[in-house]
Amino acid sequence: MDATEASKEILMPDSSPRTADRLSSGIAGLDHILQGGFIPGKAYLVRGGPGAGKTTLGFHFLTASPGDKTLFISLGEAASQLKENAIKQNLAVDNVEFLDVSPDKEFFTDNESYDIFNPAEVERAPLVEEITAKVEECKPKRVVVDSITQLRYLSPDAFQFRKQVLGFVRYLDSQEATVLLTSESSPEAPDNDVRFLVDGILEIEHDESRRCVTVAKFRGSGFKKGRHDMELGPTGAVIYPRLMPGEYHCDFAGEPISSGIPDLDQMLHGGLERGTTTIVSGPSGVGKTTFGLQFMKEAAGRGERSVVFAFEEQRNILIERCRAINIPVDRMIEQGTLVIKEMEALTSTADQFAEEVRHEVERNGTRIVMLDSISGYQLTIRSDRLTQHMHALCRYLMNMGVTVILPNEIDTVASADLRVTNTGISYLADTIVLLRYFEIGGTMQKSVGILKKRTSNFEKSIRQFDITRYGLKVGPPLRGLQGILSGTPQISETAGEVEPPVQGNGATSAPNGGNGAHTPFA
Amino acid sequence: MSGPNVYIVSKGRRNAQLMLEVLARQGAAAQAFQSLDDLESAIASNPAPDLVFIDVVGFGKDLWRTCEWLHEHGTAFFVIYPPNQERLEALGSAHGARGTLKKPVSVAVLSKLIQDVSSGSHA
Repeated sequence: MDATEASKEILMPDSSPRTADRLSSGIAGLDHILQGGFIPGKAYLVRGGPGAGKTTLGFHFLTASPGDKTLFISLGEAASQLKENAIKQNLAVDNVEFLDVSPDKEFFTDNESYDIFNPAEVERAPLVEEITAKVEECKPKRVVVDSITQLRYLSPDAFQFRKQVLGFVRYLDSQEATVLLTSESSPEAPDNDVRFLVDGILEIEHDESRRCVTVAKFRGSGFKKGRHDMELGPTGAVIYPRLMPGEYHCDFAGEPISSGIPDLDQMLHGGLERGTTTIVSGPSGVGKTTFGLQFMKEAAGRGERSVVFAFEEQRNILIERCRAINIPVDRMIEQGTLVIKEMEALTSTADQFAEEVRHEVERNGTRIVMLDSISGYQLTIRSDRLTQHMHALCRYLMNMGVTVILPNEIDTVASADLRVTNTGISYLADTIVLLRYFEIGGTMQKSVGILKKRTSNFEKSIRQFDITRYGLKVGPPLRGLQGILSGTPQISETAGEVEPPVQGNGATSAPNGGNGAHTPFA
Repeated sequence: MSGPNVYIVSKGRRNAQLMLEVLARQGAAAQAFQSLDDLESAIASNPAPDLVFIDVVGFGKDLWRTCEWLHEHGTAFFVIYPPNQERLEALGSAHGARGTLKKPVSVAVLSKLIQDVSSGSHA
């Protein structure tokens, strides 16, 4: 399921309130944010610039319940054009009544402009009469006024505008209608006064890369705070509620899951626990992804499902690499115990991606998730607050008992610099695994060490490891060497006995288990 | 009692139409003309109107000749002029206008004017 498909059904946490006393907005994600939908008989303001999606949101509201009588009052755009746009978005507006009080084409062709009176004095009264007559006629349960900004131009001053809108809202309230007023706030036509009059405010912000909704006010109810991603597509608007990890929880045993490699499990005192996050830090090609895949291979043996979100690598290349190092990737994929999702750059927003991850966890029972890699996620996902989004996503996965593996590439191949990440998110990790290159005797070797593990004790020694055609191999502790993490270790003077690293039998070991890998640990 | 008989001359079709609507709501019997010649012909061939409104936009120097002609005939008239052109206010008064109105004209002011004409205070 891709992000678009996932968007059709927004998953609700168990804590979602009942919707019986609410009026659906017609957008599942927005209903979730509003704790079920709009409160009937109230007036709401939808603010945003041109092209933000205010009218589309209005259409969703009017088409949410086909049995309800609905009215769209257009003050700016012709009804025919509005209907055409709604149809293009597959929104069925056949049963929506339209009142088109926008200027018709004769305004231009017949020189209908005038200057002798203020428009407020000669147009407002007929307009109000026309709206009132239509409301009386169709007695709508849901009303959209698009846009209230136009009324501003018919008011001589702010006081009159406020009075007029208040009267209008109260009139519709007396008719027991729930009203959405759209507004294009601008310096010429500010809507600050209207914001005080309505019961709720939705703000839509958008730019070239992102569109999001914020609930600024919602009288009489709680709501989900923050900015929530919004997409406009062929089926109208989809809103992805911001992931709030605290809303999600499931009971799980925090047992360690084995890597299937005894030496590695020994280092980790059993493995990586469920509901924890592990950062695997190392330079390019050292084996970070392979490290994560090893746990997935073992999980597949238990019949558990794992998902790799590949932000940097192509899916087919990753599959080839798995085949080369004895990970039965084809069988795992066929059995549904492994899913590799190649993430296209800049196609998903953070909330949209979180929704996709939630589907994997809540619908498909995924137990291990690898975001490959942290920097890839940050380059691919459209967001201005990636660290917060990644934090929320990892917390959510941990609450759901999912084991999270985050490969993180550092930009130094061999150095004394012991930075775990370049992005400052190591605080997220329950476990930090360091994979490093080091040179000894003129050959490049790889080491593995555990820097941190919150959930249990762990082995403090550094071990050699390698990736071979038989899989990932971990050797005994590298005793007698110091400065391994610097990349150029020395024989320790205090060591009684030096155990140099195991050397291969002349064969070449390729990074990430490429072709020609050998078995130095045999 | 029937309302006052009012003539309007304006080159703006919509302006004239709106004036007719507003005046009709005040009980006035109003007629609109698009040229000064039409206005003069109507006055020459009909009972004199109680009041004439002249929207000056689009008219040339002939306008002031018509104003003087109305003044000489004892026909009360008001000059309506665009904002920021106060010079026209002075010119209107100098050519015999009973008063001047700056755009946009307040409907309330216009209504009061018609009421005054109806009650004879502007006669």
